[in-house]
This record gives sequence, C-alpha cells and structure tokens, in this order.
Amino acid sequence: MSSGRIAVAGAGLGALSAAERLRERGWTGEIVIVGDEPRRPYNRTPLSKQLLAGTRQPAELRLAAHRDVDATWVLGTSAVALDPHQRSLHLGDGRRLDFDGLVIATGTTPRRPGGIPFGRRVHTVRTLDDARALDAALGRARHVVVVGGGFIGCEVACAARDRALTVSLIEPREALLTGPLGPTVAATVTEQHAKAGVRLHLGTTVTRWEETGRGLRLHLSDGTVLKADAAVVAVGTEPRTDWLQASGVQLADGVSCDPTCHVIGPDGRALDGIVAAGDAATWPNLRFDAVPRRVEHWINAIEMGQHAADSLLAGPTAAAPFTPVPRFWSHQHGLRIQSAGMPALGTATVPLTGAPKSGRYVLGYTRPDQHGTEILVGAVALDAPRALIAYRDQIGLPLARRRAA
Amino acid sequence: MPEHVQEAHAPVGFAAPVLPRPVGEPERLKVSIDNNHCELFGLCQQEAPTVFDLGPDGRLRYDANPKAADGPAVRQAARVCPMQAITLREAR
Repeated sequence: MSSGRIAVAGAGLGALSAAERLRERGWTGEIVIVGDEPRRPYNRTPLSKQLLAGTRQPAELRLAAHRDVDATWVLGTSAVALDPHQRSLHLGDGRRLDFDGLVIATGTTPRRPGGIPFGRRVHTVRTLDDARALDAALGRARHVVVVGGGFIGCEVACAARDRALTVSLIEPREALLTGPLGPTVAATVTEQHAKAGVRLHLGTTVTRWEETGRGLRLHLSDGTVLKADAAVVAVGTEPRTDWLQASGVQLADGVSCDPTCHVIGPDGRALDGIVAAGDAATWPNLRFDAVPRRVEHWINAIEMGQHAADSLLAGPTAAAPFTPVPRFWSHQHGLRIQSAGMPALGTATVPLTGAPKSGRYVLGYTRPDQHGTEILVGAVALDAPRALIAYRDQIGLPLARRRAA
Repeated sequence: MPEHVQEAHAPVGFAAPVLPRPVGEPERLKVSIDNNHCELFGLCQQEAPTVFDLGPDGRLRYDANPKAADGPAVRQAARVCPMQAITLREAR
C-alpha cells in the first residue's frame, strides 16, 4: 500500500500509535480516525488511580503524539458496519467512509452482568466520563464496595482507601489477582490490601443487589449483607466487535488476526489492507505459541498499534509476526507490581531474585516446551523494577540458557 | 514511500524471538523527567538502556542530552512511561 486513505476505527491509544507509526514510516496519504468519545486519545490508566486519588487532573490525560499525525478526526460517532470487499465503513451518523487501508482499534467495554442497578451509585470504569462520575460518587460516599479483585478493582480500592473511605472488596477466588499473577504473588498483594484496611470478602459473590433511597444493600453468597453508598463493578471486559458481526471477518473473543495483526476474513485467510490492534484484537504471539489471545495491557496497545501500521503498509505476505513481550504495571498501597511476558501461561514458578517472604522479589513463570525444556514465559516483580529489566529479554527462552548466560 | 524496514522476528517454531528495534529518524532530543510523577518503574531503561539507568540505590539517572542515534529509543521510552513523566524537546 502506498497511497490513498487509511481509516482507523477507534480513537484510543492503539489508534494513535498506529497513526503515529504510519507517519514515521513516511505514509503521506490521508489518515481518518473515527471514535465515539468526543475527545482525542487520552491516557486511560490514571482513571482507576491518580484521577480518583486527585494527583492527576483530566486535562493532564491527553496523550501527546510524538509526531504530528496530521489526521482527520471524526469524533462523537463510531463505525457501525464494515464492508471488507467494498472497503468502506458505515458510521453512526449515516456517513460512509471508503478506505484503502483500515486499522481496527475499537477497544473494549466493561462487562455489565444482569441484575446490577448501574446508575448514580453503581459504576464501571473505562472512560473519562465514567471516572468523573465515580469520582463524584466517591465524594458523596462513606462506604464503597468494589466487586472484582482484578487490576481495576484493586486499584479503585487503593484510591478509595487513600480517600479514607471504608472499602469492601468482593472476589470469588481466595486471593486477589490470582488469575493473572498466580498464588504466590496473589498472596503478597492480598496481604497488602488487608494491611491497608480493605475489608476483603474472598471466596464470595454477590447473589442479590438492592437499591433503596438511602443506598445499596448487597447480599453475598456467604450470607453477609453489606450496606454501601456506592459500588464499582470491575469483572472483566468485552471486546467492542458487535459492529463487525455482519462483516464476515472472523470474531472469537475479539477480532481474529493472523500473527502479523492482519484481520482474518470469511475464507480463513488474512485480508490485505485490514489490520487490528489493542484490546479488541486477538492474535497468536509466536513468542509463546500459536494460540490466539487478547492482551489488554496499555503498553501492548502502543506496540500493537505500531506493528499493525507496519503490517498494513507491508501487506500480509511481507509483514513480520508481532511477537512482543507483554508488559504491565500496577501500584497498590505503595507496592509496585510489574510483569513481563505472560505469567498466566506458566505451569510452575521459580524465584529469580529475592525471596517471596521478603515481599520484594522477582518470580519466574515457566512451562515445558514439546521437548520438556522449561521455557521462561513470564516474570513478575514486586518492588523490584531494576531486577526485572534483565529478565524481559529472556521471555520465551529456555530457563537453563538464562542461567548459563 | 520509503522502503519498508523489515524488523527481526521469530521464525516459525518459536525459537529465539527477537525484540523489536525502535523506529524513526535519529534526532537530538532534550530529556527531562517530572520527579513528582516518576515512580521508578524503570520501563524507560527497558526501552533506552544507554540513556536511562535505574541505580541500585533506586535513583533514576539519565542523560538529558542523548546522542541523536538514541532519539527513536528515547521517544519510545517516553511513550511507554507508565506515569507519562518524561518530557522531550527537540534540541537546537
């Protein structure tokens, strides 16, 4: 692809990164970015942290594009349909946008299970408007309940404790962050929340929600009834791919991509001229295996947006596979949690630096390859950012080779 | 259109994956870090190890006037900084 118009569906970090990389590669054609929020790309990560704690203001969240992306911004509307053969997008405002190349980066939306009275008291966090509404609700609350012990839930619990609120956290598993981090790190993080005064209801679920004029009553599976002024539900996300249902592109927990970020069409083959990036895309990261997965990390949206742009310009045959080391961070009650790789793929753990008892350590996650060699698939650092640096480049390699090096 | 720069990648069989190299033109940048926001995650050092150095004392040292060749890596460091605490200016 060398000239014409590249459309970007979505106006978040993945979209911005793709646009920026297109310009870095010398793309001089048109770039049109379509997003439903009425604002240019901004940093979502402070929405569950600094924005609620008051250490960052909304105006500070705007993302600086490090290049002038010279794009046409179509904001306040979204793509509602794709015709991959005509190469056109249909927009919510009735317009049609023809393209030569397309980047799909429509992100995710929080899961909103039925039976929960979402509204003034009960919130999810994804957009700046969500975070502002939650901030206002926390300002009126004394007791807030957080449902879900994943990253967003844990971070909101931290911010609410920083605001001196009574915080109850409900998580169906026996520890926080068990899914992404495994039992060892989960135990450390869970202890940190308990020490910070978060009231933990582990191994429980909400069986019934009641909203009265005075507040919320949550009935838990262990018989407990919690009264609260506000609640945050953070129980995972769903990729925003409804608009692609009729397009024929393959969908399976996200937009299915080949290893190069090219979207897979109805015939099972990569579509030339259509790529996807960020939270909505599922692709096989050949650093680990051939299983397609979504990676909902902020840094992945940057790296995948960049790679998708490269792949779009190169075409499906010449494009390189996208094989990043996924990375994320979180800061909870003063504890810095960082990860490289995909710890959730590990079948065993090995201490790499420090001892788990010390609370400051790097834990390695391994699994055997087809020859039985233990491969390092992830590393998680607790308050050990310097020690983690060396392990990033070892992700996907045999553990023994690391020791010999 | 410039010639597409092919990046190193893992061959099929998943052996010896290689990390991507930063992209962009060499350029002289002036680097500054907002200490009120930096929380020492060290992602900048992962991206640009010749410019940023998280010491054993937990302090971050950095070259405020890196070489032009480091420009693309420094820009990537600023992009991925979790706290968005790195400010870049084009040096004259």
